[in-house]
Amino acid sequence: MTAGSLRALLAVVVLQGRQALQPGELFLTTVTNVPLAAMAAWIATRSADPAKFTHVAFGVILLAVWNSGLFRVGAALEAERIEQTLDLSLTSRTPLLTILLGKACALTLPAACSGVASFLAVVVVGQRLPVVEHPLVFAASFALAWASVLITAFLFTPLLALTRGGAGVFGTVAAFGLVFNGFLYPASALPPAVAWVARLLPAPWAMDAALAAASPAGDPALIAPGWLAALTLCAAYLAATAWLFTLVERRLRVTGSLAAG
Amino acid sequence: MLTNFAIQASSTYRGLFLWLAPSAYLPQVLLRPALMVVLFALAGRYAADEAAAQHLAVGRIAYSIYWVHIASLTQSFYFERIGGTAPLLFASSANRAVNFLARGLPHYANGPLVAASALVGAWLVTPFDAVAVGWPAVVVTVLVLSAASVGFGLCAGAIAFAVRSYQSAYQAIAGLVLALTGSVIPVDALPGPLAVLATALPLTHGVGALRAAFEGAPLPDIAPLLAAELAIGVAYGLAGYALFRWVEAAARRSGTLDRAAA
Repeated sequence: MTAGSLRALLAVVVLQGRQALQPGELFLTTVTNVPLAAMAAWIATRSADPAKFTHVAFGVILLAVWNSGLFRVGAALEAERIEQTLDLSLTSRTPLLTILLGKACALTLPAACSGVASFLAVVVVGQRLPVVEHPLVFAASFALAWASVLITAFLFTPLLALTRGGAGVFGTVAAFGLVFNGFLYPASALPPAVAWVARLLPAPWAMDAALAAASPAGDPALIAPGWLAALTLCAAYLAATAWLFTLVERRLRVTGSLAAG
Repeated sequence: MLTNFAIQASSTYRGLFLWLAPSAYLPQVLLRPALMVVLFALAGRYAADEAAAQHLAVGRIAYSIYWVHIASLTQSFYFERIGGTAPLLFASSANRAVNFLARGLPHYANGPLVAASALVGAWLVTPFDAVAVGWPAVVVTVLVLSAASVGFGLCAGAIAFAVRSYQSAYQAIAGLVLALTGSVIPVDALPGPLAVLATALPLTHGVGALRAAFEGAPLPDIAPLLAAELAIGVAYGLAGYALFRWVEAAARRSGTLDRAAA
C-alpha cells in the first residue's frame, strides 16, 4: 500500500466514522442485537457449566459484530451506488478496495458498541460474569475471532455486488453466519454432516482457541492450530476479496454501468 | 368492491413487498427461518439437552410466522411513504379500511410457508416423534397464528408508516415479540410487570398452543389459547388502522405529504 493509498484510507475512515457515529444511527446499531443476545443468555443459563456461559457471553459480541459488519460493510458498495458516489470513487486514483476497506475499519466502532451492549445484556440476563482462565491468550484469540468475523463480512461486499444480491439476501447470509460461525456453540456442536462448513470459516477456529484459553478444562493444544487455521483462512479470504474487487471494478469500467452488474 | 379489493391487494403486494423477487423471496422466506430454528435448537442442545432444543425449536417456528409478517408489512408501509405514493392514496377517495386490509391479506400465505420451512429446519436438527404430534392441531394453530400475525403486522406497518423508519420499527417490534412472548424465555420466568405485559402481546398464547399441539394436545384443548391469540391479533389490527388514519389526518394538518420530510 502506497502513502497516497494510506492517506485515502485514513480519510475514508474519518468520513465514514462521522456518519456511523451519528446518534440515531449509533443507537440503532447498538441496540439491534440486544434481544437476540438476551435470548442467548437465557439459553446459556440452562447450563451449569460456566465455560458455556463464557462462550455465549463473548460469542454474542462476535454475533453483533457479524450482524453489524455484514449489513453495513457488506452493503457498503451498494450504498456507494445508491448515494451516487461510486462514480466519483471510480474516477479517483484510489483503488475501490482501499475505499471500502476504510469504510469497514470505520464501522468497527459502532459494531463494538453493539457488541458491548450485547455482552451487557448477557451479563444482566445471566446475572453472572464470564470466567476467563488465561486472559492474555484469550484476548489474542478473541481479537483474532473479531478480525475473522469482519474479514468474512468484507468478502460479501464484492460478492453480493457481483451476484446481484438484492434486498433480503443479507438476512439469509447473516443467518448462515450465525449458524456456522460458532457464536453460541462450538463448531463441534454442529451435526457432523454440516460441521465441515464451519471449518471453512476462520471465526470458528479462533473461537475454539479462545474457549480453550478461557476454560480451566480447555485443551491448550487447540490454541496454536486454531490460530494457524484462522490466520490462514483470513489471508485466503482477504486475497479472494481483493480479487473479487478487481472483478467488480473491471465489470464497472468495461460495461460502463455503475449498477455493479 | 371485491374487484377493487383484489386490485389494491395485488398492487400493494407486488409494488411494496421488496422480498417478492425470487432472489430475495427464496432465501428470506424459505431458507432463513429454517436456519434460525437450527441456530436456536443447537444453542439449546449445547446449553441443556434435546428437550430444550425441541422446546426452543417449536418456539422459534411460532415466532417465525410473526417475524415474516412484521418484516414484510413494515417494509410495505414504509416504502409507501418514502416512495412518494402515500400522497396519491391520501388524495384518492379509496375506502381506507379496504385499502388497509388489502395490504395485509396477500401476506397471509407467507405465514404457513415460513412455518413449514422452519419445521423442516427443526426436523433436520432435532427430529421429534411425528406420531405423538397432534398434526391437525398443529395445522390449525399455524393457520390461526398466521391470521393473528397479519393483524399484528398491519399494526407494525402503521407504526413504521408513522415513524418513517422501516429498520427502527422492524427491529424494535420484532425484538419485543421475540423477548417477551415465551417463544424463548417462558413468560413465568419474566419479571412481574413484563409477565403481565406478555399476556397482552401477540404470540404469547399462540406459542403455548403450538407447543401443546406438538405434545399431542387435541384441538379442543388449545381452542381457548387460539381464540385469545386471534382476538389479540384483531385488536392490534384495529389499533393499527386507527394509527394509519391518524397519520393521514396529521399529514393533512401539517402538510407533510412529501416523501421524507420530518
